[in-house]
Amino acid sequence: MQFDTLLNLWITTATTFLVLLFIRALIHKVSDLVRFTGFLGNYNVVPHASLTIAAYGLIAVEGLIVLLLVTPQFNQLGAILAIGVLFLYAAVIALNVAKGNREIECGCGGPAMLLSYRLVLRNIVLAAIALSLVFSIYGPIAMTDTAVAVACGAILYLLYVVAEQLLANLNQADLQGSFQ
Amino acid sequence: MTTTLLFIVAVLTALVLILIVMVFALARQIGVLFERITPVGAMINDAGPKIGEAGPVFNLTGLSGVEVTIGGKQSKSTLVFFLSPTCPICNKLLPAIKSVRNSESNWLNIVLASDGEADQHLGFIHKYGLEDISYVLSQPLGMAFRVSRLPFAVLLDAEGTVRAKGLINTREQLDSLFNAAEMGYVSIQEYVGQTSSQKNLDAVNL
Repeated sequence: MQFDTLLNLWITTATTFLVLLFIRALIHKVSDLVRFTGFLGNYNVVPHASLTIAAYGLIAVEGLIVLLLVTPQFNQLGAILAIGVLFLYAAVIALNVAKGNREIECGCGGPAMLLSYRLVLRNIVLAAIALSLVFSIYGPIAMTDTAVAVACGAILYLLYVVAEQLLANLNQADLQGSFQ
Repeated sequence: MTTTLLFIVAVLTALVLILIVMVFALARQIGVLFERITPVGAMINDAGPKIGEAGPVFNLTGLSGVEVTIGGKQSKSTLVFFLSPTCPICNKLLPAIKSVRNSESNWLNIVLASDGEADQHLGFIHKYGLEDISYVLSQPLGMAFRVSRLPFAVLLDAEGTVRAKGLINTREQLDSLFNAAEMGYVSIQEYVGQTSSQKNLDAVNL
């Protein structure tokens, strides 16, 4: 059992997962900027006049995260930035749930999702995955191992997509007051 | 031995992928069913006249000079769509509003509502071809319905009762407002309070 290989495999898997996640988030924002600024506006945290600039800012940051994550030398930096962004989103979601403003679209990408503390938990778990990248330094890795690790990351991401749909159903059931 | 292990790993990977697809299909179907049985698409806010309550009556003059009455007993339902010339999502929804006006005109009147000075709006109306639609400027109207964010829509039935209201970001959310009225429930709360068997019957009748 070679610990180094294991670590490198995990780094590649986790990086693939996070990259897929942020690329989807990015596409969701870029493909319909006007809709995204609407979602952003519903959160009541950014002054109305700055909504478009804030939207562009988030797109830029997420794009940067993707680029940093795929570059081995900057992988840790990308992970730190990812944690920052995930916590920012978690804070904003938590703020709105606490204020009772739950019936708005989360705007995370993925299925239509009402807000709940489960989303905060989700972001913390994602940040934990990114945290593991912060503390590991990427080393050289064989091609076959890379292919396997990337495939694992992709499968993890697919599982995450399913989990999100289930989460969306739970949040919807919450607000309808029924889950029989 | 290694070959056997590789074999089983490959088979398990394939199985996991297939299972993920199957679970996703199930989860998605549940999501679709949720969306079908409760028309909570437009994000409802609880301020202002509640769903099931009579909406306030306003007698206003539209920008084209025509008298526009909002609320009270009328021949058709009314969709009041609050917008502003400077609101980008409002502009994006205008084609949907116009198409709704054409397709639902047998039971629905549409009133566009905003506030401010008339000259700010005339250019906007001309640009988007809204001359045929009632357009009123009334700050009291917006305040009565506690409109804080745009685009905002209120659906009143022919008795003047508020049937649905909420923030609208997409065409689908606009349609969900009509679903709420169509299903004939005074409020979402009343619908949810029904027994689940009654809900199933109603869902099937959709």
